[in-house]
Amino acid sequence: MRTEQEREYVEYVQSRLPSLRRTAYLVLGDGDRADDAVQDALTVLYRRWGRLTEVASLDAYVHTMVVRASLTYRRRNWSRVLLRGEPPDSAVECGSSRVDDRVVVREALSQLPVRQRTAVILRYLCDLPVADVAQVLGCSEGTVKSRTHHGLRALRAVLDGRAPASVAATAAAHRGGQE
Amino acid sequence: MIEDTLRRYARQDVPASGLQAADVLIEARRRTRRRTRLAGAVGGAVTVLVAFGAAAVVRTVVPAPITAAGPSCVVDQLEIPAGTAGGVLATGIDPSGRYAIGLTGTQDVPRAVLWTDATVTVLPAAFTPKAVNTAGLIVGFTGPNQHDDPRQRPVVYAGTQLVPLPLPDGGVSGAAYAVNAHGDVLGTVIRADGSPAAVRWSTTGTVAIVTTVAGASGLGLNDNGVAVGFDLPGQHALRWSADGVTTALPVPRAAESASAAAATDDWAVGDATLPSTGSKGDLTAQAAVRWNLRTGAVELIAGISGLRVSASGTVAGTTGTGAPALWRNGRIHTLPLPPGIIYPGGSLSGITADGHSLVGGVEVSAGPVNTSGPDNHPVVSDQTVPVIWRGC
Repeated sequence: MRTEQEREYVEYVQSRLPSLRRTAYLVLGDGDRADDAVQDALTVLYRRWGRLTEVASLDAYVHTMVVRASLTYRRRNWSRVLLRGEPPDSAVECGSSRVDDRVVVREALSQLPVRQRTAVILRYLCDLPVADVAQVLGCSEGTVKSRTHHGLRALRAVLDGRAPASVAATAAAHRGGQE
Repeated sequence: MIEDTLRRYARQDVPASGLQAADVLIEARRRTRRRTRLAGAVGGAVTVLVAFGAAAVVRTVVPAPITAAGPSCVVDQLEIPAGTAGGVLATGIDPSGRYAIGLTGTQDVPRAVLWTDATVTVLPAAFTPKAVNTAGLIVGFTGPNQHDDPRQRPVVYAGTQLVPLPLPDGGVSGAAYAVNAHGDVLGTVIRADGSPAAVRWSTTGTVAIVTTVAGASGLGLNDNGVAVGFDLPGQHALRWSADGVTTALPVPRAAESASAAAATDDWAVGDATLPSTGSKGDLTAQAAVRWNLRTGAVELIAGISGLRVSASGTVAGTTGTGAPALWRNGRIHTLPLPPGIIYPGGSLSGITADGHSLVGGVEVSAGPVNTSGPDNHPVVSDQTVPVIWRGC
């Protein structure tokens, strides 16, 4: 990569790093893994930096890369064994329901089929508009709405305690014809 | 609500990180150099495996060949109206190519832009334009431009004023998505229980419910009065004839499901969901479905999404890399992008009846991070500029 391109790359990374790392953390729930996933995604971005004329919405595209890297990271068996300098979740006050909420939501998200999960994460955790998600995934807005609809329905069933995550996700996938 | 739960989850405190941009760069360089060395070392081994047939790959869906559009296909930036803050995206073009519509403003107060006869105007009324017909009649919705906001109302903009479209009994919000040459309008209303219903408004202003299928959204309408949309819970693409008869559009054999997004003359188009292969490419794999509304024929077009279709059957969409493209006669042609832009890409939102002109938007640079408040997000990203492709 040329020096000028590297400078542009660093400027871009510098401005987006907090937001990208937040996204990875929300998916993984672990600061160290989030750092690794962001590095994975930004390494791929580095290789592609000079060919980005083919990319639609850069921010949405890079967020999608980070989400994908985070989801990939979750799937690696070896990544389940980690030596950390600190507990994976930050502490909350004793008796707070926040910790339960976070763990339950993260676990429920992790059970969704990948296309539904990606759409839900980009829409509601990254706060990207439907149009941007559709653009970066290259599908119609209707398709994004469909995937988020099925994903939210499965999450709702899990969080309401009506179905185990795996059952709700499987049912949603079956109804939605996805995965 | 589950949406609120997710947003609360998204607002949680995130522990500080020591990750710095300079470190990211150093590590990216290191891994790239290592990858390059490994690729050279492994190349010979792969060649041997392939020679012994150990690396067979089976593809059930073959994408159409992709080439760049010919030299007659050119792209121009549409004029940005004076005083506009933030980005502008072209959201549609009428079948003749005389009128193009666009979107700017904020998510809470979206503004409509109209290009016609070499002039550009920000329309005085605040609304989101979704489609325009050959007479210049624009349809869309008022209210915030956010997914399923209950304050959205279907409207038409006729000449100088915004006219609200009445909601049918039981409807609490809605939006208009298509308008044909006769001025008939198709849209979706949301009922009190949150379920959508496809609705057609006639030119006399009366409301006709196109379907009562629960969860059906109306998105496309041709000049013969045939409407298309999809049934959200069942994931079926649907077709409604002018007299209201509902039929399911067939799903191509190689696809799991399909949703219809637009209709022009004999054609309807939408996205297909392909079976998962378990590879990373699943997420960016694109496939359009094109239906012939006259004959009932259906075909799967792999390699491009199905966003719009022309009267001649040309499909407009984006490729797996996000490149705006069109499909015609079995080939995908990527459209040119404006020169001199740093981080370009493109979206497509309209095609003329002849299939030769298209509109959309491209990004001109990464730009600054948006720091506006949560209620003041630009409806179109700051870096987006509207473009038109001609001669394609």
